[in-house]
Amino acid sequence: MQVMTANTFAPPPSDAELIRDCQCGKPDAFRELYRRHQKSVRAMLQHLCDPAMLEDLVQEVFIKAWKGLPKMRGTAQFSTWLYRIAWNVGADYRRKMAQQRQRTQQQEMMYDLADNAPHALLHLHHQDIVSRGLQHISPDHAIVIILHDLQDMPQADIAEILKIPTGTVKSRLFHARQTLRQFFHQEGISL
Amino acid sequence: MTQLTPHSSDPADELKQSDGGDHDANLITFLRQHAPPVPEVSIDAEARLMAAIAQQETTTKPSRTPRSRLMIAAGCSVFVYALWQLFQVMMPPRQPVGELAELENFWFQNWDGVANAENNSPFLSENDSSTDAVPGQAQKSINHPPSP
Repeated sequence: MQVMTANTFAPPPSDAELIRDCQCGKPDAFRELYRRHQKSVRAMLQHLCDPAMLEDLVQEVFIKAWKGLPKMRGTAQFSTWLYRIAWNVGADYRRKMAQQRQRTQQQEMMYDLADNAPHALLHLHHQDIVSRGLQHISPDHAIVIILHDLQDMPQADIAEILKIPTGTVKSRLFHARQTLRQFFHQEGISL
Repeated sequence: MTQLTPHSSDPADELKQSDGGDHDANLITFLRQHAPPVPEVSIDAEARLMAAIAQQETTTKPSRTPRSRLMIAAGCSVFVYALWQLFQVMMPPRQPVGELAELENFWFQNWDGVANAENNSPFLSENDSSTDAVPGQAQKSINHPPSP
């Protein structure tokens, strides 16, 4: 018969408990928080930055989170707070890039794939269109699409992350979808 | 032009359908199906992060624990209390209002006596023996200058 100790089925510590440990200066607790949330942060930032910069930006987000943990209010949800930091880092990055980037004529790439193109190629083509579509719309609109439509986050949480009213989230979502739909239409996809 | 009408069994999509109609549901499904995959995390990313944090720890002062915060708060309270006590000691005691009124009343009643001390002073009266020794000297000292 298998002996089950209490530790075997001890539930994993909650985010709040890990945060308390971090505030007491335990980096291992922060390692656990990183493991839990790094994928969401990565998924959000990949649409806002150059893929080559993704690792650095994710690291910047978590270093900022570590520095900010002692000041973190107990009432705030860690994931919301972390998303807020990630959004700030991503927006800063885009602002910097926009300042540095020289204005170049955007090359219009018209893909004219035949209906009988291999499925994998078509999928890659669509991925490229989605990626360019998210780059095409403004960051304010892109983040709402990413969080709501791709990550299935409730509008109230998005409002809290972006510090805007829920009505503004709805409005941005509406306009972002409209712009995306127009972009896809130009690319030959009618949705 | 490609016409895409994807169908999804995801309950979240059904929610969106009710929110924004089929139009939005198609768009959302398309986005989800073709969103670029999240890049794999590099093997050393976690190690680099923890090293960076450890470096932060050595360069910055350690974060305050709740216990040290409590001690700081208690110290501040004691300091403020001591200051208040010191202030109380340094300030002259205040007279009660009734006592002040009585004192003021006394001054008013006796002001004439103070102003016209030449007439009332028992020390400068003519019968005073202390003025007899040098007559006129005391009288001179309290005489007012003649009015014009």
